[in-house]
Amino acid sequence: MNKITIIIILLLSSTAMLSQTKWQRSEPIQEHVSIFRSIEALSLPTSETMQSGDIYFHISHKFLIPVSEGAEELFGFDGGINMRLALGYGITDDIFASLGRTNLDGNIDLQVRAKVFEGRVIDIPLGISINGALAYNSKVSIEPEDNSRLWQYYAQVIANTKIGKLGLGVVPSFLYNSNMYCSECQYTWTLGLYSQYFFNERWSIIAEANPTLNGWRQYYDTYSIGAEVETAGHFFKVFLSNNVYTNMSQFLGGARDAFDKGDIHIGFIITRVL
Amino acid sequence: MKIINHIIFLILATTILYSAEYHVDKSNKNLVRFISETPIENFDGKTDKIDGYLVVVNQDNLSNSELYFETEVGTFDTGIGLRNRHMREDYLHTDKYPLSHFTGKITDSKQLSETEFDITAAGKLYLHGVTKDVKISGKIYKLKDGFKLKSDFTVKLPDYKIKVPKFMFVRISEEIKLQLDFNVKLAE
Repeated sequence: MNKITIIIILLLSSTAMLSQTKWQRSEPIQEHVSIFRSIEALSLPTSETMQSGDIYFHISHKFLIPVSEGAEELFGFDGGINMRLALGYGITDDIFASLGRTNLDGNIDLQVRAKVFEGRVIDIPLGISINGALAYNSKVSIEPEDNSRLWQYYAQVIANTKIGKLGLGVVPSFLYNSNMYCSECQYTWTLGLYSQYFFNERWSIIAEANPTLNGWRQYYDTYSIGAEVETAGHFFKVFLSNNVYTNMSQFLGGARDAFDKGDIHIGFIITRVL
Repeated sequence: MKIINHIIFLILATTILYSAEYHVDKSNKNLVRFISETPIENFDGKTDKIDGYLVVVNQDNLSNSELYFETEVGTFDTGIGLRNRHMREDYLHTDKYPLSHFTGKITDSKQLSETEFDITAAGKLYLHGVTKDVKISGKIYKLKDGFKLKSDFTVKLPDYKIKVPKFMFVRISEEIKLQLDFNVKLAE
């Protein structure tokens, strides 16, 4: 190898070295943890919140006549309904507030949900939120002796995870003043549980249970099953439940009908995120 | 032998003197924006998460400069959280393909004024796991301690195996306009 060849090799390698950039990515890639897509399963909340500035609209119906009345009552559609309308707003990316009204007892609810954790624990996605609310029964047929009993309060801790296509949720809940007509102020502890199986980005099925652990309850624990379809900014949910209450302060108190005896009602929820 | 020495010296000196490396200046205002226009709905998404470098080998006209920039596609904000989520999870699959990047060289450069250049860069654009040869044009402005780069170009989503929703109303255009506006400063 003569001198010229060596010099050319050195020259080429030094030029190649010069073309090596010093650049390195300065920030780690942001990870997005995704568990549930909607902010509610059926009646129970998920740990999701809205993005700051997002507006949320909710309408839900639960038909009072049970499906078992058959075609004569059009499986409940011919009867009365409990209905809730709500508007929500993403105050920050992690704090969401909503104001709703239910026709039953003119129940007005103000809820605030705060996401306290979203990330991975041993590679398992985990979302935890807390939900606190107060509800005022503005239009009751019989006034309770003490008007302060028109107010109800509840708090929930929401823990969500996802295994493959299956989303899972646990919602321990506490309701204060469960029945405004009881002489002594009542409370209720429940343990909400739900799972949602996502067939694809559009379709999913949901099962929900809300057994009472302690305190006042109507006759039965609540069970619901349903399906969800997501289209653009809408969620459409159709379900069967033995609980006909649409406001959480009424829902947490349990159901009047027995799910296992077939006393179930059709319900639906439509939500829109703007 | 003397002539060869001179040539080597000149080449090395030229390379060292004229090759300068610039990195994306995170302290400055950078923007990557996409625009989707359909008869039903127009919307855009913005992010400032752009990183990369420019290696200038010819300070006079910028030709042959190496260019690399990358964007975290999961950080695009369309103004609605749920839409961001759909974009990340249903269309761009950012868990698998978190970055989109362009690697190329400035193949054509025209100096319009002391500080302004019209340039064309040829290279490879990587998006959604697919790499395509592309040519993009834009402008480069000389700044005190670096450059400002601006470019507008279009990508066709099917070219990058990104599906366009076909249900109900189609709200996303097959052709997405991309706008880049970022700054690079001399690497330390």
